[in-house]
Amino acid sequence: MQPKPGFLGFPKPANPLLGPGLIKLAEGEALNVASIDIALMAYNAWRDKLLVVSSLIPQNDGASLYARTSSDGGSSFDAGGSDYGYQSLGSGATSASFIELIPSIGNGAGEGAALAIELFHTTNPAVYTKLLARNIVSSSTVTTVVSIVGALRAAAQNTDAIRLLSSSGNIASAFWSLYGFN
Amino acid sequence: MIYTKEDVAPARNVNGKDVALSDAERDAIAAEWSANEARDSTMSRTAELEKKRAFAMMSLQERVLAEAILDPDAPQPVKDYAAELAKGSP
Repeated sequence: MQPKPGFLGFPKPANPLLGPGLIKLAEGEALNVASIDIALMAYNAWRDKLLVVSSLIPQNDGASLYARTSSDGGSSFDAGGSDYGYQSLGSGATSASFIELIPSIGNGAGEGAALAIELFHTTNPAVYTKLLARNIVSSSTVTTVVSIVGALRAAAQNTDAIRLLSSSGNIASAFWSLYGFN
Repeated sequence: MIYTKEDVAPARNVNGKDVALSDAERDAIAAEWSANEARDSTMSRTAELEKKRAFAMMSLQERVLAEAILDPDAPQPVKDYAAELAKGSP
C-alpha cells in the first residue's frame, strides 16, 4: 500500500504509532524556572499538536502568562514588536512581541492556571502558525475565570518550538504534556 | 519594580530538563520583566484616568446612578435616589 501523501506531496513517514486519536509525545515538570521551552521538530510526523499545561503557578502574584514561538528549533524565539497577533474576548493585540495567553494568574493557596493549547499545522512553512488556547484560572475564593485565546505568529514559517513565560517573575511550577493528533 | 539578574531563576526548563542561563541571558530577562511591569502599570493608570474623566463629565444624576451601581455599600438615600432615576422619574 502506498503511503498517504503528506505536506507538499512528500510521502508521510511511516510511523508504527500512527492511529486515530492522540499520542503522547513528551512531558515534563518545571520548578522555579525562567521559562518552559518545548521543541517540536522531533514530532513533524504530527501536523497538529496539543500542549496541556497543568497547575501552572507563577512566582509573582497576578503575573500574565505569555507564549512565543521559534523557527530554529528553540535556539531563539521570535520577540519582535509585531511578531504576534492574539485575540480574546474583550482584549487582544494585532501587533505584539508575545502572545498573552492569560492576563493574570494568582499564586495564593489553591490558585494557579491550567490550559490546553492546540497548535495547528506547525510544520507548514507556507502559512502563519495558529494556536488556540483554552484557559482556566482559579482563585482562593473559588471563583474561576475561563478564557479562549486565538493567536498567530505573523509570518509564514514552520514553528518548531514554543516557549511559555511570565510577564514578570519566574514560573514557580508547572506540569506539561505534549500530544500529537493522528 | 526594577528586576535584576538575581531575581531570575538560574535556568530555563527545556524539554523537561533545566538548562542553565548565562548572566547575559538573565540580565535580558530581568530587563524585559521590568519593562513589562512599567508598561502594565502605565496602562492601569491610563484606564483609571479614563474612568475618572468619564465620571467628571457625567451629570449629577448620572453620577448618583453610577455610584449606586458601582458601590454596593452606597448610602441608602443614594440607592433610593438611583432607583428613582432608573425608573426615569427622579
